[in-house]
Amino acid sequence: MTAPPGSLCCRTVELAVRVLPADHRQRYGLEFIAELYGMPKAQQRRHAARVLTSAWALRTALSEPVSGANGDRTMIVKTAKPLTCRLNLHHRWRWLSTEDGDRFERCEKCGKDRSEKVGGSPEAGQGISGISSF
Amino acid sequence: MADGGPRMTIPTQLVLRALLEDPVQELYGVEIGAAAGLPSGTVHPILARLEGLRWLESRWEDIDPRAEGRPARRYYRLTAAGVESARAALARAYRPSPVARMRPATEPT
Repeated sequence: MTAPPGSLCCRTVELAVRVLPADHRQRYGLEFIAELYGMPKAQQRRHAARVLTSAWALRTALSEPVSGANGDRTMIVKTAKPLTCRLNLHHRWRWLSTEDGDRFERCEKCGKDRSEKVGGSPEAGQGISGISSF
Repeated sequence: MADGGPRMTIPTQLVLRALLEDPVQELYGVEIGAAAGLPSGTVHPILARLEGLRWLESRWEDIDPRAEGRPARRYYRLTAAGVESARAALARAYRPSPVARMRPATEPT
């Protein structure tokens, strides 16, 4: 018979589990409580405290995309634009070509397009057809 | 993480090395922490990440909680693919220090 964990440790674990995604709470709640059994009281308190402090890291780990059958991770597409792009202060322009040979520039960071003006410098904001400019 | 593996931080390497000591043996979180030399309660984020990659599998201990006087524990072990991936990742993660790399190989006299 192993000593059950104290109420303070149980409450600490409950608090830790609360930050986890809802579908993982029960599993980890049971897992953490089960781990407290058989430990001396002082170790139980330390263990519960560490579970609490690593709860956000666990949440992050659980929120990462689930891998495919062969272990490859789903690609995360970052949709937030960098601040310098949002403020139109700095873009990282790269020359690209359309299928019909027109040249245009696109910011590598935010995807904004600017087309090549005949006899002039590229003008920002004039996207090519079919590609929305931001 | 271009190869789809986890970030090979030092704690991740320690956990993988601990699990690779005996890949067929199942361990629960506290035992893994102790084997890896990490504080108990800190290994679960690593375990969750490895489980997400399917390098690890876990199951509830098959016991009668009343008879044992405690709830069932969650046991982890490396999958067959996880053993291979972990070994390869640890081999890649090992890098001699820059000083050691720059030092010319000594020839036997």
